[in-house]
Parts: sequence; C-alpha cells; structure tokens
Amino acid sequence: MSQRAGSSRLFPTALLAAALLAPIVFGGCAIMNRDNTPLLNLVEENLWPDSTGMRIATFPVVFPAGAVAVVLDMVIVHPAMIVDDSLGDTGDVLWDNWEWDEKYVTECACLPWRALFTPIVFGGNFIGRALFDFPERADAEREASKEAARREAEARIRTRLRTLKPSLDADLEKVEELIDGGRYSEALDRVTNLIAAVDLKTWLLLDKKTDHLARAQYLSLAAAAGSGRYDAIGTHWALKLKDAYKKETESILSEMGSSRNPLARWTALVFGIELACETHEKIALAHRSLKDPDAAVRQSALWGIKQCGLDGVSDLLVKDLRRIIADDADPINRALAADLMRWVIED
Amino acid sequence: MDPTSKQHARSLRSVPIFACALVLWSALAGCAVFDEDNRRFLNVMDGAIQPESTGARIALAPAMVPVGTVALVADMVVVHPVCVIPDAADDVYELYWKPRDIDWLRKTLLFPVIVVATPPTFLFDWLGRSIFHFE
Repeated sequence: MSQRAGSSRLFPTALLAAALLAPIVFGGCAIMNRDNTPLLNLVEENLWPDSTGMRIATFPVVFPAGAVAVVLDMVIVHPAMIVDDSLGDTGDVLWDNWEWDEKYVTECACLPWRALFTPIVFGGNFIGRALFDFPERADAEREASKEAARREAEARIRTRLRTLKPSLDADLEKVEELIDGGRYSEALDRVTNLIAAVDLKTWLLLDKKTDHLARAQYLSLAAAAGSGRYDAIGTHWALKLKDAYKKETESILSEMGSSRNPLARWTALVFGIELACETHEKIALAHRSLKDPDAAVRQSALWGIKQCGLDGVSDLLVKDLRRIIADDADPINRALAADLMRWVIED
Repeated sequence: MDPTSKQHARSLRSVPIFACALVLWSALAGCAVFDEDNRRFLNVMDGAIQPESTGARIALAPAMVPVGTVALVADMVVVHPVCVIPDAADDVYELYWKPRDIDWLRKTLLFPVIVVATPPTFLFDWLGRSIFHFE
C-alpha cells in the first residue's frame, strides 16, 4: 500500500520533470538562433575569454552560468519575447478579414467561435514559437509585403502584355506587308519605332513566351538590308537567336556579310556576334571578318574575339592574328591583335 | 439524494460532453461550413439582415450572436447534411447502380453484394459530404 502511495507521489514529480525537460530538449530548435538567447549572448560577451587557456581555467564558472542563462532564455526570456508575435498571429488568423457589410449575421455567428478558438490558436502558436525558431512577425511581414509587391508588378506586366500582344501582331503584320511591297525604308522606320516603344524588360518577358521580339528583330534586319539604311536598325541587343526566325535571320546576316557595303558587313558581324548563342559561333564569325578589306570591320572582329575570351581560339586564328600584327595598315588593329596574341601566349 | 436530483446531476454532467461533441463536430464540420456555398441558411439571413450603421450593428449584436450561432449550427447539422443527400445518392448510383455493359451472370452475382454494400456506402459518403467540403 505504502509502495503504491510512494509511486503515486513519484508520478507527478516525473511528469513535472518531463514537462521541464521537454522545452529544454525541443527548445534547442529556438535557441539555435542567437537572436533568441539574449542572456546566453551576455554570458558569451562578458564571461567567455578569448584564449583557450583562460577558457579552460574559467570553464567551471562559465559552464554553470551559461547553463542557467540558456535555461532562463528558453523558459522565460524567449517565451516573453514572442508573446506579441503570437498575439499578432492569432489576430491575423481569427480577428482579421471582417465582412460586416455583406455578411452581418455570419460575422455575428462567428464571434463566439473566434472567441472560443482564440486561446487554442494563441496557445498552439505560442508553444510552437517558444519551441521552434519561427521568423519574427516583422520579418515575415516584410517578406509578405515584398512578395505582394512582386505579385502586383507581375500582374501589371501580365495585363500590359495582354493588351500589347494584339497591337504588336497588327503592327508586325503591317511591317511585313510593307517589306513584301518593297517599301523597305517605311518598314524600317515603323519597326524601329515599334521596338523602341516597348521597354527592354517587357520585351524580354514577352520573348520568354512569344516570338514577337524575334520577329521584330528579323523584320528590322530585312528592312535595313532592303533599304540599305543599316544605321537605322532598331534593336535591344538582348535577343539570342531562337528557333523561330533563326534561319531567316541567319540568311539575311549571311547576305549582308558578303555585301560590298562595309556598313552592311559591319552590321552583319556585330549582329551575328550579339545574336549567336555559342562562343565558338561568335569566334567563327569574328574570325571570318579578320580578312575584311575594311579596317573598321576588322577592328570590330578583333573586339568580338576579345569579348569571347580564349575558349575558341584556334591555330588558324593565331596565324591570322600574326598576319594582322605584321601587315595591317591600321595601327589600332595591330595593337589589338598584339594584345590578343599576348593573351594566347600567356595562356 | 432523491431520484430527481440524481437525474438532474446526471443531465448536468452530460452538458460538457454535449458541448465537447458539438465543438468537435463543428471543428470538423467547419471544413464544410467554412465554404460559403454550404451555409445556405446563413446566406439567406445575411441577405435579409443588413444593418448599415455601426450603431444598429452594435444594438442588434446581442440578438444576432445567438440567432447567427443557431443558424450556423442548423446549417452544419441539418441544412447542409440534408442538401448533400442527393449528391451522396448520386455517388452510390454512379458507383453501383449505373447500367454497365456486363453479362447477366456477373450482374446476378454482383446484385446481392451491391444491395448489401449500398447502405454503408451511402452512409459513409453522406457523412463525408456533410463534414467536409467536396466540389
């Protein structure tokens, strides 16, 4: 009988010990974050020496002080710090979003339930926040407002794209008609204005889902090739050649590259390097232009190679660079080629 | 203690049990009545009672809190469960009774199984639809 009484006295003691230990064990999750342990931080700042010898010497004092600090942090300080966060969360879940205008009776009916669940939600949230390392409400709110702003911006752009697409279709159709009718100059002006009228960010977003920019770029090149006004080509210089209009664009660039007009060849080179997806394609284009009769085209080719780095440099290219260093009439080209050669040798 | 007071004490003891059952039921049923479409009675009342001024809302609240609670509980326990009976019956029909292109022997063999399975299936489906929100 007395044994049973003894064990029944032991039971609440064990329960109490378990209840005290639980937050210590699980509280680890919360105390891993330095922001949640101000007392332990104080001990660390004031009692924890820098040198290993002193640490060993003061360990018998610092360890119990740290243990007391961390237990106080877990059981009192951190829970006290998160009360307002839990209250805020409970308010968000149960006491926001009133619809008194449309649903008066429903809101009245929900009042007792909101009141009934308040301690339950608050208690659950408080225990969760006390045990685990949740982000602070201020941080969460900042994140939420950032996310909301991002979503709002996306929605704005989506709306803009929705309204933009039909008008772009019609405009590009018109440009194509002008090119088919041989009115290249008019087509070029129209497509250049069209490209400039839409900002780069919108074009790039549009380019992810549609072929409008690829089509505009191709039509711009076609109109420039037809009219000979290479200086008026409209571009955002950000497009890589995609499957759509790739062949058409490459065919025009190749035609321009073999033109007698140096500006056409220069445009073909610059566009080709910009639009090519792979470095070896860029280098190949630039390499072909190293033999161009025009010094400015050769210079752009050298710049193009320099931009690409040395990944695609071949023996043949080295031979051409040597030729430019030795024979090119333009001193800038000779200097650029010599600079590139130094890279090759150092590499 | 005389028998009447014993009975009174027993009925008093059953109040918290009933309250717990109601809270549990409503917490679970909340899944169904959280959706506006499943609060038919309350929606009618919302349409009918719309005090515009804050004063009127406050004045009406002491009456509307119990009235609304009763309406909400009625939606939970009576209106919504009754409204989903046809859906549950449809589910059972689709599952067991819809004519299928199978031979007579199989139909005959399946018939008693279907007859036995229909009531529990209906009950299970109806309870599920009463408690949780299904599209």
